[in-house]
Amino acid sequence: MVNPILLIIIPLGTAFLISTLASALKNTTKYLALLALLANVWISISLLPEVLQRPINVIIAGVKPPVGINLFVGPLGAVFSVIISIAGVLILLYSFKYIEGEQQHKYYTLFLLLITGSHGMILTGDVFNLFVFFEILAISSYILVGYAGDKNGFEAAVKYLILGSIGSIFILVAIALIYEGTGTLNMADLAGKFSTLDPARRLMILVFFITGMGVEAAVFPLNSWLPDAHSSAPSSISAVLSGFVIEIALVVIIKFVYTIFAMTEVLGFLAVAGVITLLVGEFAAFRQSNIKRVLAYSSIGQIGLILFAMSLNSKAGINAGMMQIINHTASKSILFLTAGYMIVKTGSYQFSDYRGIAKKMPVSSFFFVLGVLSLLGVPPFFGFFSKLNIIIAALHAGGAFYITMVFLVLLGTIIESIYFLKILQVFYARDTAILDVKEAPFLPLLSIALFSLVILLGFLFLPQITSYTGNIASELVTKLQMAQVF
Amino acid sequence: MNTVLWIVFLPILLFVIGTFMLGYSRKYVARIERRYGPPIQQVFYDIFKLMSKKTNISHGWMHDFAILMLLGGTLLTMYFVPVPGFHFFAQYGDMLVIMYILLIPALGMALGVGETANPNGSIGISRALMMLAGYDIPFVLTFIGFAMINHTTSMYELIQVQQAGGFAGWGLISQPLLGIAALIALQGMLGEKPFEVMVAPHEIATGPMTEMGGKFLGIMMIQHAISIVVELTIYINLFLGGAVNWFDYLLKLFILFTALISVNAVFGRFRTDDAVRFMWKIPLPLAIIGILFIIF
Amino acid sequence: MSIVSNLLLLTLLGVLLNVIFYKSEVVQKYISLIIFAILTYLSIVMYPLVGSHFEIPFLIAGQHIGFTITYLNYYFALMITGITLLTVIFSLKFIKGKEGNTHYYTVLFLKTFGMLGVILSSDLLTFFVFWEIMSWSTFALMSTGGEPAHRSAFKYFVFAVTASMILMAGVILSYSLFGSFDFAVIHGKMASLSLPMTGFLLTIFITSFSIESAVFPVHSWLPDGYSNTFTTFTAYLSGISTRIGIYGIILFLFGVFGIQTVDKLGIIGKINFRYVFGIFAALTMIVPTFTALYQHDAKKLIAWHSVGQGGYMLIGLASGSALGIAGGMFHVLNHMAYVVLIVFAIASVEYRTGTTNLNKLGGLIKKMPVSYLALLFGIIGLAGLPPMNGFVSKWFIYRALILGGYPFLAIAAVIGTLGTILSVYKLIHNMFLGQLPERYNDVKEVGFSMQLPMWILMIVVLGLGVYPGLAMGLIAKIQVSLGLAAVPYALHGIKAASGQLDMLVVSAVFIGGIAVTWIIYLLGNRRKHVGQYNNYAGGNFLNKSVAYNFNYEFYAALEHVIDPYRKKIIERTERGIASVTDAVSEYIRRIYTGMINTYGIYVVTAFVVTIIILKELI
Repeated sequence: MVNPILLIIIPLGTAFLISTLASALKNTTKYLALLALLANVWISISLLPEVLQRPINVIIAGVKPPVGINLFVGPLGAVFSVIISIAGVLILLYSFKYIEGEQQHKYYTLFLLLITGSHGMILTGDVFNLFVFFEILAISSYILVGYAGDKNGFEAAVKYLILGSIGSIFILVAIALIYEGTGTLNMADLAGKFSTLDPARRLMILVFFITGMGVEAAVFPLNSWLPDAHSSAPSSISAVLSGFVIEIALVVIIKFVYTIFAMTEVLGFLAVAGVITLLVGEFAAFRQSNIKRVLAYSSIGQIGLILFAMSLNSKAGINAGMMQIINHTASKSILFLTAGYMIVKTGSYQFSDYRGIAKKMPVSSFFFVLGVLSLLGVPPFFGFFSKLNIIIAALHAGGAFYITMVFLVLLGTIIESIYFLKILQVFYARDTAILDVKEAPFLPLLSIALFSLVILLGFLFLPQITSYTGNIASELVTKLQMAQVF
Repeated sequence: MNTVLWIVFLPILLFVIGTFMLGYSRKYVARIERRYGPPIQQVFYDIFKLMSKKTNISHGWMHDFAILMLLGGTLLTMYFVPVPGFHFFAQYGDMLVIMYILLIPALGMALGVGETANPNGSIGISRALMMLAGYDIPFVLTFIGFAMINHTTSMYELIQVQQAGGFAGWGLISQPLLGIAALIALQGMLGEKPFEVMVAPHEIATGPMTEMGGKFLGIMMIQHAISIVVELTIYINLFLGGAVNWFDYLLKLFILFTALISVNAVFGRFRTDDAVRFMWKIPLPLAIIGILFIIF
Repeated sequence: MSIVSNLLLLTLLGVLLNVIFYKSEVVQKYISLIIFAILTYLSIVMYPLVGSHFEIPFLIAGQHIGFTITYLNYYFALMITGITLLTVIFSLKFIKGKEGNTHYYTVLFLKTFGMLGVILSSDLLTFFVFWEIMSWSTFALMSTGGEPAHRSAFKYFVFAVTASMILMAGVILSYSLFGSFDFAVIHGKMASLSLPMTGFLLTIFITSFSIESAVFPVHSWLPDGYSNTFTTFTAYLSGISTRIGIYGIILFLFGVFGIQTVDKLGIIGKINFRYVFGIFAALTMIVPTFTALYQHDAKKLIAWHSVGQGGYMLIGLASGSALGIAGGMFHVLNHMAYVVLIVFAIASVEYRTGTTNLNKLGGLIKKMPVSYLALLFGIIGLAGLPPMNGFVSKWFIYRALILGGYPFLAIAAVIGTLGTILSVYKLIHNMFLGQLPERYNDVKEVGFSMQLPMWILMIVVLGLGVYPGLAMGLIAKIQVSLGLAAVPYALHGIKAASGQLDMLVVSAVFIGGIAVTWIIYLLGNRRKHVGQYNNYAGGNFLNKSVAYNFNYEFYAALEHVIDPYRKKIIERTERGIASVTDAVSEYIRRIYTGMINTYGIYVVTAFVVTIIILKELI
């Protein structure tokens, strides 16, 4: 058996290695990073079959829970690790060409730390460790947002930093309240003891936790940092942030609400919050002219949709939500990555400056179209099946409330289709003002192409994917008490 | 055998009746205007004169063909409208067919006139078509109402239904609103004043007939004679109980025609838009009210 | 998976080959010609396979999905492949060297793929998937052409995506109600559904299809969308693309829900679901037809009629009687034949003169007699006059409405027909009749490859007019397969207790009448052809510098009458919705002020609101 702890240790160690050996390695640091992430991919994939049989519990430093620190790898953790490592590798591949300059090693260090934090957040079995990993993830992403060093990036990073800090303080308060009340920080232990707390304390813990995590998960109205951060960051980082970082925070909320707090009565509230986030995101994107802001707002919309799906209190809903996460990771990464080179090549963020770019960058434009189609849920792309499943799940929940919600979700999709189509029409306009623009280099295109494979061929592997996501759903909904594992 | 005789002689018969009616109308109007007027057989002379003209100017093959379509279409309509003693074709086409084959001659003429490349002609056609939109809507609506209560669209059956009810069974008596609406629409259909916008000699130099001369105009006159009879017959069949025999038929034709040309004689000409507006403001609401009576 | 997969895969192969050979127009056109010929052949020989079912070899959401061939499918498949073949033949020359024709055949194949998939599908999911493919390829089809095409295609897209989302809601709602996507299964369980829910579901589906088939008040995307693209696409789109919406309506009204279920959906007294639907159909006939009167562009004029004629099909279906439904279905075929014929004639004129502006053309009958004849056949069909095919189907519809007791729907049909006669005369007059402008003196008739489709369609238009029984046989079978009463048809028309129709007799008498007139005509002296300047001009002389033509504002007087009633409500409503959406998005955009202090307030507010709400929930 491969020890899941390697998923955290390898990128963490490589990050330190890179930063210490930076002067010696010069520009070869990136290959080291790639190696580390490839190892992660192999580990996470090899974990998958085992985990589906039986969740793995890893005890660190020999001290048993509830006192010690441990990792818990259930289907959720395993599948998410796969998503994180694969997306991480592909985006890293993209960064090889995209990130240039002397100080590259900083980028790769932070990138690896970000991956570390992501894996940690999703795998940890301890509430305080969750906070620690959250901080690793958050701090590395603050810096990465401002990596380019320009004014916009810096401003966005500061905003992100301030709001993110408020969020982490909230989380810390929640953790303190938990520890004070139950005397334990182990998730499995907590799951048993949480219900014994008095309702007022439970309420406060829940609220602090949801709002704190909600900042990172970009739930409306806590997501105000997102448009700036996602649009000002380097495109590879935008892809990471939109692709899995906000989803991780979201999934943590969902995991806590379903299993650890076991307070499914608040799910209705989360569903409404999800739909509001969706509508706000889509409408806000509707009149944007900056392509990365459009994509950022669209991420808000998508995160709302995922939140809605996962708050349906049914296996089908979580299953569909996970599928939508996969779809969003792939398609939004494609969009950010292709847009990244369009910005580099044309020197403009305004998509109105890209008139007829499809003639000059046909491959990029083609991938952009694929990404849009899958994001909008056009058959036969993967996004169609995830959206279909979300709506099936919502209608199975029954009642006029959910039918109304479904119509609002579909309204959001209409708005989303319209603004994406505007962009596509500009790309494929016949007259063109762009003259000396060339296609993006091979390596970034390869990374984008690999992402496209997911959405193109996803529907062929639908049964397999559903079997994984279905396991996550049963893990969460049947409240597979983690205590049973011991 | 009988049918074959009818088929051969009906056009001639109706042509003769029609020409005499046209002659009669000229005389009648002249007398009202205190003129002497031409002899009643004047229309015959005109037609023979036109048919024997030496030069027949044409502007192209559609111009030639239009004249065939004009009279051919009218003859087609004529056969499908039942007259006393002859309703052979009524079984192959109902009132709806008649409503639409009535438009074939109009279309033929419109195409032919179009090819003459004379703006007067085109304006005449444009006016004729606008007028068509004016009068045809109320006229068809009255027919629809009448067909609806009797559950048939066959003109022959409509006649029989009326005759079974005696005088009270006449459409005009049993459905007076529809009858009156159709009567006004009929005035427009015949192109008599005040709806004579299509020809309007003082405005557009007789409109469609501007570039028509010689045998073309002659055939148009033959067509006019027959079509007047056919259109009046449609009204008689729908609202005046049809006709049991030829005496009855001719009497009804005479009375109806006299009534219509009396209106023609004392009216000026409407402007086209006013004519259309009149059709949509008077007969159309009448017909709608008539139908509402039928429904409720 | 034999013939259906062959059809679909062959179409996909067409897409693929056209993408591969996107640089060579010659290769593209011959590939397309061959593949569409095979497709047409395949869809013709599909007939013995009616009733067979093909499953896709994998499950989706635990459901078997696939395709089936029914009489209804067969009817539509025949139309789709046939008309596409004719379009391709016509395009061989027409599209040559035009700007932006690189993907012409590709989108044509993609669109055909989508349409064939939609009509052959046997379940909601397959239906929806192909429906989406079809909508996107329609969008691609409409986008070919210049900047206006982009704009109008965008408008279509907004409507289409709305329709798709509504359809998706309907598809999934019925899945959650019936537990299956299969049409047959849903039809079987339909009776167990409560009436309000049935009505809701049916309304969802019909609304979605109404958008695609451009029913009034959601028709406004069509005229611009269809007329701004290549003229051959105008033909293709008006001929068959819009009618897939009608297919959906037929399928759901009669195939999935069933007429018995639909008839149960009463509202008040005689006003039931069908009646309300009929009212929308009636408005579809009247409003767009009269808007067509105002058009100065031949393509736009026909596009508006294409909206209006949809109303006839729908009102026939809404009448609910065997005759009316047959009329509605028959009109789909008839409309396809004559409208494509008309647009081909327009395209020929455009090919030779470079314009479709009705104010700039005229007198082309001397130069392009075949195109003129094609247009003439087409407009007689469109106006619904005997002996062309349009008359027959309209006759069915009028009769069904009159005898069914819908006088006002019937009069709407008549009003629509009159409006049609007016504007088609304007069309043929302004293009082919009147004075020939000097600049068109060298115009020639189009070549054989463009004439051939026109001749074929002329034969179809006339043939179906005189022998409606040719199509009625299939339509009667469709009716029986949908559980409806079949119409009592004969080869030349229809047999009914009161007032039957025999088109052969009508045509024969007409020809007889023409023959008699011809004899009278020959009695006179020989006619002499003269030039267009030898003309009555009130005593003046004409020469080529005098524009002696009447075509601008052809129906000014009628426009004068109608104008006060043209409020452009639809246009204003659409603009209103667009500006409301803009305003809403502008306000929501402003939530993200970019200032960190407001963001802090948001977080605190969110915190407090969450406490308040969650306190109630726990």
